[in-house]
Amino acid sequence: MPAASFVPRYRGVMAKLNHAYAAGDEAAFDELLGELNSERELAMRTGIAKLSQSLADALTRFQLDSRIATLAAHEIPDARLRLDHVLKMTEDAVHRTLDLIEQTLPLAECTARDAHTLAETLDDRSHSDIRRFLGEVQGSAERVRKNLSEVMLAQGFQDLTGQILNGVRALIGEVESVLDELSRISGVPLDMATAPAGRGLQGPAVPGVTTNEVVDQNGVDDLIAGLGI
Amino acid sequence: MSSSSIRFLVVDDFSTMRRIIKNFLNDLGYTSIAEADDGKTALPVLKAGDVDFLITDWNMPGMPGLELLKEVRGDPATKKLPVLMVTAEAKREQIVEAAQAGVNGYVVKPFTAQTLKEKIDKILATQAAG
Repeated sequence: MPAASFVPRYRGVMAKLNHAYAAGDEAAFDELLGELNSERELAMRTGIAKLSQSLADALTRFQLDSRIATLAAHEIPDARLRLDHVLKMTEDAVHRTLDLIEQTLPLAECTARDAHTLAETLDDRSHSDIRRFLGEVQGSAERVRKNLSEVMLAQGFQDLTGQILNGVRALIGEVESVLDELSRISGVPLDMATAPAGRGLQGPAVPGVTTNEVVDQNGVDDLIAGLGI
Repeated sequence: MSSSSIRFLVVDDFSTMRRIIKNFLNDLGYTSIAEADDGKTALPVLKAGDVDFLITDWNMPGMPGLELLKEVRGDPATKKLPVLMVTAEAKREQIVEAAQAGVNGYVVKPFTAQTLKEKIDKILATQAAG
């Protein structure tokens, strides 16, 4: 509401209201208050009418747009499942890496220690080539150990990427529930069976999302063999 | 108390991060390390009095690390426990908030071995001096 229209619109009634108040004319005062109220109600009703029309238009557009139905029924839930899968895959990969580091670190430690012990037992005047070799073995094993420790700390990325993905996942969940609510209001059923299939994302198979895909090498081999190749 | 007998509690909702910190502590010679996945599961372990050093993440479901820190500082039995926060939360006001809540050290993820070792050593040295 522009401020400019405020003063002229209420000037007349305010003057009368002041007058009635000063004169102690309760009946006139009440009547004028009623006028003020109906003025405001009219403005509010006009606003609500405009808002309802916009909402009706938006809902009609929503009903007409099958792309939104597809997004809500297929693609948003798919995106959520894909993110879940990424989270699981990275977590599994990091645990697998940590398993291997935990198994390998003691081997490197042991090799370095044994090479050192063995070199100590050799007398100074002979076996110089073997002693040099043992020194190199010890040095290499210590570097392997140090590098593995760095690899281990680098796996901390999964915590950070995981937190970011969890945030995006929560956002997708919110969009999904807003679309569900919108479909309920508009009466468009978000039935997985009736909504047109989405364009779909390409890339690796995601359990629970991608269908008609051969998911492992054995399956690929069987299919290839079945095709006579 | 000899340094290797210090009992650590590592609190993080990511099992991979708990494992990394645990391995790292082992590497530094500490062998007594318990784990919890958020503040709620950490509290009973802390209340039992079996912890000498708390390493906690901030952003966790259930009870976040800052709330855990406040609980620790609010309990006479644990109010002097060394607490190191290891977290991706790196906003200035968050670090100030943690400091005001009584944190002893703050490491931002991703961290290097040297940073983590430095902060742990510094806290232990301060404890020994105090």
